[in-house]
Amino acid sequence: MNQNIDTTALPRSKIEELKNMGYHYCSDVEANLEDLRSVLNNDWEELAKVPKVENALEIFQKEVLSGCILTYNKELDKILQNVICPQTITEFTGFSGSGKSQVCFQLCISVQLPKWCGGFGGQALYISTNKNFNSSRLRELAKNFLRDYNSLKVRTQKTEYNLTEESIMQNIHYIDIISGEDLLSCILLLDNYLEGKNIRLIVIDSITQPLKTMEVSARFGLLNRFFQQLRILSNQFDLAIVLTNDLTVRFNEKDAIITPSFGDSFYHMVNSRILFSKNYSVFHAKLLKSLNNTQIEADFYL
Amino acid sequence: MDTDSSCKSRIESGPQLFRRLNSSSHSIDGINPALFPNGGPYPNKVIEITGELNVEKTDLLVDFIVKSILPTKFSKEWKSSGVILVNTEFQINIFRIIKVIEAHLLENNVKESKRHLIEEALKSLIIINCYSLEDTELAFYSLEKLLFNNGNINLIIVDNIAANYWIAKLNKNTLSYFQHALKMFDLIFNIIKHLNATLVFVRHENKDSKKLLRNIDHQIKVECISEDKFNFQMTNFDDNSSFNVLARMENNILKFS
Amino acid sequence: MVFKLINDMVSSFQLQMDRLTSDIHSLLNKDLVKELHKRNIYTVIDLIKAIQVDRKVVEKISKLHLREIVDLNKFLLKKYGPCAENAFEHYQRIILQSAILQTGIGCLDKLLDGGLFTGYIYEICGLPSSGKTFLCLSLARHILTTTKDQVYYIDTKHDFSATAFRHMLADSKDQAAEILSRLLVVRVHSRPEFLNTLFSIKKILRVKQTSKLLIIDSLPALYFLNGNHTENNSFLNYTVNILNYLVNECNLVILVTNLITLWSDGDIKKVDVMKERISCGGYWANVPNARIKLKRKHETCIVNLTKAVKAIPPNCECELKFTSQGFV
Repeated sequence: MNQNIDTTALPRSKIEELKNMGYHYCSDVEANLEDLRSVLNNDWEELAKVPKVENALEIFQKEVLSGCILTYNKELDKILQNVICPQTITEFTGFSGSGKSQVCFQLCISVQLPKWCGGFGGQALYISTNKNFNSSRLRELAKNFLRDYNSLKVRTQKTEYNLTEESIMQNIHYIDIISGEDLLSCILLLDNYLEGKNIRLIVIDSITQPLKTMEVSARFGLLNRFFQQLRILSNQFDLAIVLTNDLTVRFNEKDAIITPSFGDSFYHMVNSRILFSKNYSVFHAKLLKSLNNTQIEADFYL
Repeated sequence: MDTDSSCKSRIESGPQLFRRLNSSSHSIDGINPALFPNGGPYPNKVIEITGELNVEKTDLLVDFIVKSILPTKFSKEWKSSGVILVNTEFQINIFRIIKVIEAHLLENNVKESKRHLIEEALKSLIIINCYSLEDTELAFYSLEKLLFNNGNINLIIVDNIAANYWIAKLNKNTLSYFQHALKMFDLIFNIIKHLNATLVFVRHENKDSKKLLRNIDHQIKVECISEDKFNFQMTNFDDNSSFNVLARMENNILKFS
Repeated sequence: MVFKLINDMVSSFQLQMDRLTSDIHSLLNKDLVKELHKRNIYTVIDLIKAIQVDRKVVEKISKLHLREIVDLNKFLLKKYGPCAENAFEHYQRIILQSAILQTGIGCLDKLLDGGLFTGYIYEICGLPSSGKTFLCLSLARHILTTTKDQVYYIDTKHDFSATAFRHMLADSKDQAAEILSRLLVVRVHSRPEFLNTLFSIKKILRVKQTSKLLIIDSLPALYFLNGNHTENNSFLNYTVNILNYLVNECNLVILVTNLITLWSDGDIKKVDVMKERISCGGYWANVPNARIKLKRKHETCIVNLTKAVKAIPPNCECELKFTSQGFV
């Protein structure tokens, strides 16, 4: 049983050309690469590539070394253990004002922490679609954070890795998007943007907003394409991705259920989901889905 | 030797002659009196089993297989006949066949050594596993030789005739499911049409599709009434008669009423 | 022209069925192959078709005798066609080669009539976050700790966390590293990568059977990637073909996770009950030999067997408990 060339990433026209010449299987093409150079150029190695097989031990060692991003808010971090890791997609959901954007700001700062401190020593990219981005609030958070960081530095007597308010603000890149198509184009062109910079976290706040104006039928296709590209990027640059998603209402018989937008197929595609809510001045976060398959909740203050 | 089209008389090929001389009383006539009350299915006849995609048709196929391969001496409905199964769906597995054979032996109070009977029965069944469209086509081409080498084969079952439709469609976008089924059916029909075997094949059908393949003699439409109850709508094209037969799955045996 | 009959061994392996080259058969010398190419006869199956349809033309082109052509046809069919096996021999071969992989979960093994049987495709479906990946990892853990086999894990959306899996091995601390090293994880992001991986696994297992379990988590992530109905289904078609080949000819158990989504038809005026729909379409729905449906209930998970390899037992449900080491 042979692998048909239909299954490769060759464009349809090339496949038809090859089939007209009698080449139906990958093994045939490989046996005659020289003769087919005019048709294939040198693309074949790339197309026939098998992704790397790693064993779980190697992956475990990599995971231990890279760790996860935390907020350094003791209560909240109880549920963030091993959640926001490189190459995963985490969803923050909840009503407006439940603290999602604020936690995102904090993550943009924490990602910059040097490795010896548990951070990634990297930069952040904040893609905003809903005008929640507040640079003064961010600055405030950075100030508070620096206080703790500098006292830690003094205690551990490390003199390198200086962080300043300015450097923290500068290491957070910002893109403003309005429509769904813009969002997708942005993600598709992001590999050029990311080249050379050490961005380790991408926050998209929120993804519900730009898709609201799109037709329902187009949304599904766009979301899938979106996820595919995000995964490719996160794999290529070893990034963690956080998305914020608004809540919506679904009807089941006579009940109206409040759930995050985009339904089950979206829920399937994200790796973790955290539900935020606010009760007076207390914030509450519940981990609904994670790679560790635990469901925990915590109350925290911002 | 193919039939010379300019000559009116029918020229038989070697295999055809051999099969004609050898297929004495071993047809599967009488295998299912509920579905074929007037006798049959006879050699060279074609039976299409159709129904919606999600309806279980394999129970009926397994029933045909098991009753064909079991020895005639224990039951009128058993035919001591060989069967070829062209398997593209991989839903019929050997354990299931054995379970159904055991259930039938039990039902008919057969006292002889079960193991020996099962062994002999299984030896009459030939399974061709097809993993691609090419496999299926080549399987059809090899049927002639198989029938020649195994004179007792009277039943050929294809599950299902239009397998790998989506791959075929990828290469020719205008191909419809029906056209693909037609192409594959014509291919197998032309190969085995005079070889004195009965052909049973499965073709999934959409609810509204009323298209019919030519050259079929009987069409059985399968409907699932409940978890273990089926309705078989039998249509005979020689006399345009049509009737319904109910059946129930009981202890691994399909019981027709 | 003198020819020798090449010793055609019936092998149950599918050999290359492809382009005609002069080293397939002594009759097919380079000139004949060139002549055939001129008439668009490029592959083995083209030639067989040509012989079946119009032998005279082939006689003319090749200048071979009828008998030689018949023999060539016979040879090609035997070597390149699918293997026709007698059911009894098939049964004996299966008994020798196949295995039952116990799941390590008592009630699940009972539900599955012993465990997971090699030679079959099992689908694990459920709503998002119902425990599908967790069940796959529990099963992998049991196989890895009770045998020396490898387990393949194809991860399409980065749901595999080695840290989480390591936690499940808390009992076997000293062997943890060795156990981890036998779980082979491949992360795929596109359909060609996925199919290339499956074919390379086929090549590896053809040489030596180092693994009896292949887990694909999850199929919808690849299916959803494209909206074109024909492309989606033809992708599934190719996938199904290679999966069927792997289970039957390479003696594997293949577990595929699939998503159930809740849909409500109609708009607000016609409020309806939400219906469950299994993803990947109608074509895929008939493919798995067994279907295990998961439903999460806080600390436990209800397992429902909706399609079985042999027969659905009268009691087709059981309840699994979440523990730190997997399902129990």
